[in-house]
Formats: sequence, C-alpha cells, structure tokens
Amino acid sequence: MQLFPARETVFVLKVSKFCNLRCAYCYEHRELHVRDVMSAVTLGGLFAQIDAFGDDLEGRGISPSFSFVWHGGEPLLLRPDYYRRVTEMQQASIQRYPYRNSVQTNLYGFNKHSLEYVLASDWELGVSIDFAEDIRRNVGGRDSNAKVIANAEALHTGGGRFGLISVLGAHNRNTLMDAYDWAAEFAEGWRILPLFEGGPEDSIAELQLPPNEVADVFIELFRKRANSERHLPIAPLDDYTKAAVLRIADQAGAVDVDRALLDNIFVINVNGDVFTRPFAYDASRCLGNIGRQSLQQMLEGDVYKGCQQIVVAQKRENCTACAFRGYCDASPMHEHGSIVNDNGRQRCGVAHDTISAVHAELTDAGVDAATVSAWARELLAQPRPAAA
Amino acid sequence: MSETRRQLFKKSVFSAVGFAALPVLAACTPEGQHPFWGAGHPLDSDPWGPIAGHATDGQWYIFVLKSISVGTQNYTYTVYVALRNPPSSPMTVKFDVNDWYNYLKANSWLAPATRQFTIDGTAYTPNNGTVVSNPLHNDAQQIAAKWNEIGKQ
Repeated sequence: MQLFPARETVFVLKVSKFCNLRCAYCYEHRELHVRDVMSAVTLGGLFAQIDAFGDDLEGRGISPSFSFVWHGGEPLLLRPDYYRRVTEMQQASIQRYPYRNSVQTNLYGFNKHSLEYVLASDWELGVSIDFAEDIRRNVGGRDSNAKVIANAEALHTGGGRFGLISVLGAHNRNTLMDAYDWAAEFAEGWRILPLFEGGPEDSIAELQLPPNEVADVFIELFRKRANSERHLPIAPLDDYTKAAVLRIADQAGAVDVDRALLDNIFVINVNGDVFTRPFAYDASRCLGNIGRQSLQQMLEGDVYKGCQQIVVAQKRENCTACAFRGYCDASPMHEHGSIVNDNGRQRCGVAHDTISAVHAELTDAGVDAATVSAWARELLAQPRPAAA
Repeated sequence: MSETRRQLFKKSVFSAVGFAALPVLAACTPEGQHPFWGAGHPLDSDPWGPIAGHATDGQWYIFVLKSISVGTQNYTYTVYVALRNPPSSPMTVKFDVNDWYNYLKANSWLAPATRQFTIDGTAYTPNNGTVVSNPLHNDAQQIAAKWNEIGKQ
C-alpha cells in the first residue's frame, strides 16, 4: 500500500557551492567561492533515471515518490532560466511517479526573478535564520541577520510561505526562545539543526554545544511553545516528543536493529557524485556518479552495502539496549552527527538526551498512560472530516 | 500535580504523534500493550485523511476511511479509482494527497472501485459495493528519515 506522500525518496542537489555568505560554521566553507554549477548533463542523467528507479523501489515494496531539494551554496543566485530548464527536464523525463521541488535559501542576496519563478511554480522554500548577529556574515564581513529577517517578513507579507531553519550553537542558544514568537507568526515550520562537525574546526570548537545542552534548549522551546498562542511544528523536537509519548503509553513499534534498511535521502554533489546522508563528501563512501551509473547499480554496489553495514552496527551499538528502543524509530542512526564521543565512549547524543528530557518533562507534568488515553478518546470524540 | 501544566502539553503530544495514533492511544492502559500496534499499523499515516495507492493496472486508487473499531484492528475504507492521474510539478494543486483528493472530487474525477486491483503485490477486492477492510500495512523496508530543512512536517 502506498502511503503517499508520507514516505518519499529525497535528492539533495548541491546545485552550486557559490555563496554570498560566509557563515562561521558552514561545512561547505572550502568551496563557497567556486562558481561551478551542476550541469544539464548531470541533471538530465538524474531525471532520466527517476521512473526506472521508481519501478525498482516499487519492486522492493517501497512507495515511489520523490523530492528534489535544491541546495548550495546559495541556489537562488542562479538565474531563473536554470530552474525553468529544470522544470522542463523533469516534465519530459518523470512520467510515472509524483515529485516535488524545494529550495533552501539564505534570503540575503538572491536573484529576484528566480525566487519569483520557484514560488510561482509552487516549489517550497526554506529560509536560514539563526537569530544571532556576527555569525552569518557576507563576504565583506557584514552581518546578515537583520536584513534576512526583513526579507522574510516582506516575503510573508507578499503571500510567500516558507519554512525556517536555524543552526543551533553557542551563538544563539539564548536567543531562540525570543525568536519563537517571530517564527510562529511568519514561518510554516521550524527545523533546528544542532551544529555538527564539518565547518572550520576552530569555529566548531567554539560554537558546538554538548548534547545535554542541546536537550536543554529543546526543552525550553517545548515549554515556550506550550505556553504560546500558536503551535508551530518544530523538527526534530516533534519526532523526539513522539518517541517520548509512545514510551509513556507503552506503545512500542517493531524496530529491527539488525536489518539494513534502504536509505531515503541521497546527497548529489555539483559534479554528480552521490552519497547517502551520513556519509556525504566521504570520498571512500561515494556510491558513484549520477552521469555514469544508475541508482539501482549504486544500491547494489559494495560501497553502499558497506554504508548500510556501518549504520546497522551503529544501531546494534546504540539502539539495542536503549530505553527508547521501539519508541524511537532509530532514524537518528541514519543521520550525520548523531553519534558523539562522551568521555571516550561513542553514544547516541542529541536524540537520546532530548527524548529523555521530553519524557521527563511530560511525566513530571503528570502526563501518564491514562492521561494520554483520555486525551486520545476526547479527540476521537470530536467531529472529524466527513468521508465521501 | 497541576492540571493546567499537564493540559499545556496536550497539543504538543498529539501534534507529535499524529491522528493515526489516536485509536491505539485511546485503548492503551498502563498495564497492557495494544495488540495491533506492533503488527505494523502505519503510525505516520492519517486514517482520517484519504490515502492513495498506485495499482498494477496503472490506476490510482483512493482509500477514504469509512469506519474504525478501536481495539479490534478493524478499519474499513471506501475505495475510489482516480479518473485522472496526480498532476506533476508545477502542479495545479499542491503536492498533497488531501488537496488532490478534494481536487478530484470537486471535478467529478472519482469513480467507485468495484473490481479487484493489486498494489505492491496485494490484491484488494472491494465488497459491499466499494468497501475494503484493513488495507494498510507499513512497508518498512526503507528508512523514513526526513530532510525537512524546508520546514514541511
């Protein structure tokens, strides 16, 4: 059964590394001056494979729907002609399966016509704002925070809808609470991404928070949101909350930590090199090049199987004895930066600590299995949308 | 314990788990585990909303919840065949199965599904007119991780 669009295969397309900002923690910091753009040949190679890849996924019992995330660098520095060509190529090549497009922008300096085009084409938009100064500067050293907030407000006023992403670190751990009200007014949702390795080492050492402090920030936001008028979805806090609630209600799902699951997120670099999410840019874990190999060939290759084995090993190590096994779906083990070094021991960091903290917050507030059950019955009793 | 403080978290709890979990959570007790939770009911799907499936005959079928019995794993769905395929991007309607269903319905592009059809190797035979029971399962062969920088939940 296809539960569309709950499960989709995501391609994060590094369309160009060129950027007008020099954020202190950016994992692309070595290439932000490079103007190379993903070629039409590479794009054509990808789009030409999608229907066949969908058939392959369907043959594996997986629901084929696709998401193309246009990422950089700053992808909206490219001219609208580029995205028009993307649309034409997609429409010509992808016939059998649904797909959607989205763009992640800094909304600092961008091609106005490209923004207009993607919005008019019903592409989704993500805007990066950290709500802190002197961390996301332009090439000349000028801070971007106030200008981006103003641009986002103008976008909203003009009817544009966007999601918000903030990188969480020492620079903004004390400003995000005040930012909630702004986010709830202007954004459709908020992803808070704890800073992980990959950027300049001195900046990372200064800005990265330990998992327990990240959990503290999430709990403060959890309380702030509960006391606010508008409930804004916050990722991954809501995923962590789900795991905590399922444990309170003692409703474990079946999570087979020994089973290798197919990844659903693939990062494609400017030159067409393909990686799974946790191994992006690791040359020894490159699955192949989209211009030279099919995705099916990559998934059957030894490199990909090696990536899967590493993830399975991480799950065995971190999930087998975890108090939240079966309540958490183990997806953090498929993400970069989930494992931390804790006094010489490798362990699940932010996910474990935040789920534990949310669980403690809810139980301390008196939310138990009986409460959850009563609330569920109350909601079920409310009128629901009429069936056809 | 402050009832006010507890109530504050109600929305956070249910926006996180989703409506699909309500029947299960309604039936849960501190002592026991509901029997069908571990059987793979799709927690991430919304049984109130329409669900789309692409069948081997090339048609899209739309399942709309007809009834649900808490505690007996008994979901029944009315099934329609889509007379038009989902619009592809840039879409006439947003990429959302709820919007798509409403769009098809508004344009009279839905017909009752009365013949057997097969999705992902499972054959469904509508009975009692257009009704199928318990069509959902969780195809957990692929991780359902999110790249939701875009903010879409």
